[in-house]
Amino acid sequence: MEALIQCRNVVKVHRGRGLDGVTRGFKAVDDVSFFIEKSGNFGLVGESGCGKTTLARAILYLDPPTSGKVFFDGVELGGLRPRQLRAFRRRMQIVFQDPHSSLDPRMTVYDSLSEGLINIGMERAARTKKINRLLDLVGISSAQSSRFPHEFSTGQRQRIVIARALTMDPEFLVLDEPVSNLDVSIQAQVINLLLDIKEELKLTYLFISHDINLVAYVCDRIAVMYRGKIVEEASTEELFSNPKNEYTRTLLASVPGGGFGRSGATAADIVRDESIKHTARHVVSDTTSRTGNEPDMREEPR
Amino acid sequence: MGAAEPLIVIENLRVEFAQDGQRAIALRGVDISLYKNEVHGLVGESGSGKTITAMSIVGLLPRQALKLLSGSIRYEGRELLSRSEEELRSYRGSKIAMIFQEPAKYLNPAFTVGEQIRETIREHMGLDRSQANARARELLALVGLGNDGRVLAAYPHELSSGMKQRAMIAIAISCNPDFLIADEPTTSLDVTLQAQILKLLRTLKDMKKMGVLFISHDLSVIKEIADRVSVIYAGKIVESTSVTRLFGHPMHPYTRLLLMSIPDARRKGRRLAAIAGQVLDARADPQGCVFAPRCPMARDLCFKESPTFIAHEQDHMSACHFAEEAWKL
Amino acid sequence: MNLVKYAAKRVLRLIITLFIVSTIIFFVIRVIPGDPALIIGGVDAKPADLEAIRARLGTDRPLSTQYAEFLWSILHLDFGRSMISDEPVTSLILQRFPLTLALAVLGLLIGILIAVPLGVLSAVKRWSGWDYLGLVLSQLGMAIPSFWLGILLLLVLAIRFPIFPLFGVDSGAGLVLPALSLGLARAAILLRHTRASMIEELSKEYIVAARAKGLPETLIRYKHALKNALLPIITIAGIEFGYMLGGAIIVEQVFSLPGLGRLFLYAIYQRDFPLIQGGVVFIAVIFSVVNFVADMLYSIVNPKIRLE
Repeated sequence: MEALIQCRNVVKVHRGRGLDGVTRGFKAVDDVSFFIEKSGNFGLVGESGCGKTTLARAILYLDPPTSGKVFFDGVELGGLRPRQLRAFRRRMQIVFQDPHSSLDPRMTVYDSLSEGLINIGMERAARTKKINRLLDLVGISSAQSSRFPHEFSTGQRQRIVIARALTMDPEFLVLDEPVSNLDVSIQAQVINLLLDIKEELKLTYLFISHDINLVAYVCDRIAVMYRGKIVEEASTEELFSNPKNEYTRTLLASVPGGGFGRSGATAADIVRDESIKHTARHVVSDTTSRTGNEPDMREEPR
Repeated sequence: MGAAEPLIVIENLRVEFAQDGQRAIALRGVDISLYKNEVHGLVGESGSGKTITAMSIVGLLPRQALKLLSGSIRYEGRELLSRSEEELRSYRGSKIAMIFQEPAKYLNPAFTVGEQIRETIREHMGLDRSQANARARELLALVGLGNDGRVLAAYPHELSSGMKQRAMIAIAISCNPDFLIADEPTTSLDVTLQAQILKLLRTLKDMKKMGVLFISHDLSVIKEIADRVSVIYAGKIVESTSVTRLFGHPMHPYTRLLLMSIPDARRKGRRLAAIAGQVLDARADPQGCVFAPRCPMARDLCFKESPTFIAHEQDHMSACHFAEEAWKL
Repeated sequence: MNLVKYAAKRVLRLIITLFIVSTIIFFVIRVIPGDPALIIGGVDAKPADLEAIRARLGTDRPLSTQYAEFLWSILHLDFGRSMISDEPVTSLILQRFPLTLALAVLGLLIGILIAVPLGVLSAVKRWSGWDYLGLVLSQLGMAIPSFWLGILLLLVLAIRFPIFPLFGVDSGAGLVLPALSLGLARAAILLRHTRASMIEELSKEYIVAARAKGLPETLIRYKHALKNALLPIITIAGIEFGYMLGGAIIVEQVFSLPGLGRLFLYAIYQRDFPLIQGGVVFIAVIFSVVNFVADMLYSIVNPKIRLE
């Protein structure tokens, strides 16, 4: 199988000043390596603050990784010039959790969708045809394309965001909690839609969610992320039938309404240290540097 | 299940608001019976009237916008809707307590956790400051925040979100209420924390024999915690029964569709049931069933006549003309 | 961050501010037309006399030399002597300061005492008679210039009904009218902020939670909401106070009070360079100190800041 996306030792350090006024580096993503096959459906699951969104942004080179390499279709993104990178970016798109903030409230649906197409110099007639086809694909009547975002429900807005992500004919779609803001019945509509267009357009997905049950339903492979690291990666069946990592097991057992794994045990049986949330972003000390190109993490007094 | 006599009985509760000069119907006749020592799950989508139901019980509906409040809410047989604000206030916090979705917002940032517990105790139990303090300390230990007094002196922002929710629970149970309303208390938490909070609520309910109204949009959470479930759609209870019956033999088409729309790793590859269309507009007041426009089973009768909410089987209420008919999707 | 470190940082920032401020003022007053020698010697002074005066004042030397000397003396906390009265600038300022300080403190007190209760009342009883009264008063307070208000107060409360003295500050009563005319305008601004802040806090979720706890409405308003609502007010009051310390010129003029404002006003009229320089630096220091105190107060009331 051919890999469309490949990450090698991706590290992303966030710099921030602590309450004591000392600048430190936080490894939001810590030495992550994995690959996604062409037309694969890869799930990334983890709790808030574990670094999943940071990793996604690093892969798309929206926030380039501090170190490590990302390959798209065999080309290393870090070695590209800005113009070349832009061309690659068209082939990869992202859909965020909140459709309210990802659509410009002052732009009609048509204008939102045509922005990218105008950029690549597409004629108006061709543009309209394409936009109508995409809206049709996501289940929005093309007659409504002159409306503004506030005239649509949250579910419809998320469909519009998906349609916009598809205007550039991407091969790779990052879906960052795409249904977390939606009601249950609407959630089902959007998941069905995502699975349908994946089939129809032969897309590759990186599906990010905090909900391991949802990720398992949608994806074939799952990586479990915890404190910036991928602690386990396996096919969905394998991960559910034989979770090897302790955190994965906790996560599975915490799924409400029964839980998975630990024969018979429910989420309520698992008690974990509350302090996990506090230390989720761990401070990197200067002794952990491994590779030469890793940044200097020593404290910088200001 | 609970005692023979329900603690709180809500009957035909109807709430209307004035919204941009138009009438918005929030509740269209809600019926729920709530018992002591029982977790009653109230499940529905956003805007279905879950929170309005809760706020009606404690008498905290936004008064300026309120246009109509009819029906009945009885607490131990006594009508609450006709009570004065001052009488209702003596119930709130002492007999009926409440916890909310985002503890970070519902705790006052300017006061310590200890002060926010103490003031409730002093208001309702008439204890002095040191007695209230001792009690607050015990309560924090009870909800798993230790008894070394650290959390007592902490401000909300110094706590993690799980700890904040525990603190809010400590405030809620501080005066030994008979009843706790939990409005999406775990929605903003990570799943592992959610599991802990659910367990805590369950333990406290058993310990204090409290009745609990647990509001959630998430059927899986309801399945985890509730003994009994009411499903609310567009301001109307469409089905109410025990949690095992609801998940095993749902009667109302909305409930069935909702259950089939939850992605479940065990049913991978099977298509999710999606409920077509949009939720009923709050301004609409159809004469028929509120779910009829989206119901795959709807027939002429459903659009003409609103189904009554009746027991179709022992302990299993449903508001559907065709609840007893076998059907499949 | 601990308090000492925080204070040290503020002092450093103050020093940088003072350097910039004094540099600007040094050059600005020398650029604007007007020769102090001409003012001292008079229009018909002989050129030789003028030269002598300039030599005595030191204004005949190159600007760069003057500037270097100026910086050097500031470093020694020496602001020189007034060109006009030949008294040390520092003692001139310190003589006048207590009066202005008293005026500002009293003005702020009046402002807060009027604004906070009325602002809270306006917020709690929105669109009621109290709210409209507050609205009208604050509009008036902002629209009426303080000198006009001062004159009005004098006419009514010192001349028509001689309750307060017309001039002088021999008794504390002499301060009341100036402080009132200074404070009323501040009250107008504080009132608007208090109302807005209080309304915002009353709409927050923790208020719903407090009601659900069965707390009485008075406790919810005046304990829960008010403490949060006062946080931004402290900062604004600090700025207002600083403004009153430096900007009481007009009021001092109307009531003929020998305060800082008048001292600086005459210094500018007479191109008294050292006094202007000293005054500006002094006001900058006062502003910083007041801000610092306001920040300290803020951190005492706001637990979120306390950690830092």
